[in-house]
Amino acid sequence: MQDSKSNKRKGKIMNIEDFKKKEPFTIPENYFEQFADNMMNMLPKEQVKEQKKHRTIALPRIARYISYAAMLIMMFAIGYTLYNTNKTTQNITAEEHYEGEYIDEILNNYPIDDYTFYCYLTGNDIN
Amino acid sequence: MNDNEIVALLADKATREAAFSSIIKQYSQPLYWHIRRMVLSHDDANDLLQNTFLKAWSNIDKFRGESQISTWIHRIAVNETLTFLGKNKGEIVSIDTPEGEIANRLESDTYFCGDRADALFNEAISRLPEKQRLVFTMKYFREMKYEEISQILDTSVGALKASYHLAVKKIEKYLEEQD
Repeated sequence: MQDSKSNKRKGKIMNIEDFKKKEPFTIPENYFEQFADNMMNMLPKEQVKEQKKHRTIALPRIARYISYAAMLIMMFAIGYTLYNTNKTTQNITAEEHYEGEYIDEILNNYPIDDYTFYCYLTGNDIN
Repeated sequence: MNDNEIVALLADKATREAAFSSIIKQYSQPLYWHIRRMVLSHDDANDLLQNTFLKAWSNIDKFRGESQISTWIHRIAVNETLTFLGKNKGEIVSIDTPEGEIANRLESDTYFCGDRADALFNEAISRLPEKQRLVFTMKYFREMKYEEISQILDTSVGALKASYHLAVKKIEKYLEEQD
């Protein structure tokens, strides 16, 4: 029976329409049942394109007071540092000023004029 | 779920996955069999089917519902299959492949239960030029209308009819020669 059926499909009497009657390809068991689920798991998840909104977090009252105190301390520290820096600068300037005054005083009181200074530099005798 | 309902669900990101799952369930079988008859191996058909849906998912934003879902998804499957066949031209079948070799390969395939005539018939199909093979597969196995095939392959109905007629003649001739 199988042979006669097979022979009918050979040669000129074989009509290509006959091949529609039987599916020669097979698939693994439960292939289609599992395919959809497997496929869905394979899909790359869509990236959330919306950027996260910045939220303002309401601090508890005590935390607010602490932050105010911290700000005040910081402002005081900055002010103190700036004050000390200015004071040091002023001292240096005062010292420089003092030294300048001392030299001027010596020069003014020292009995030397331009001619004497010239003679001193050239090695000539004043007299 | 009809096309319009699916398109509406695809537009909303919250329901997109559910809509796509529905597409997979609806089209995985016909697309699988279409691809399988083109590439013959189950593993290759499975890979190509997965690639088809992955590509469809990655291009889901571009799908506006202007064409039918069926046409859109078939086009992707056809492109994937043709790309695969182009890349593996020499490996699956070439003009140098001895007659009967593809049938032998099929008969030793775990997922093939046909007889020699079935194997030779599929060898005859696989020896057709790619476009003729596509047209023959869609018309003969899927019994799709020429108008539908025309939309998928972007080819005129007249050209498709001629292509199918030529394919049938070539297959019949090949089978006669193998007799």
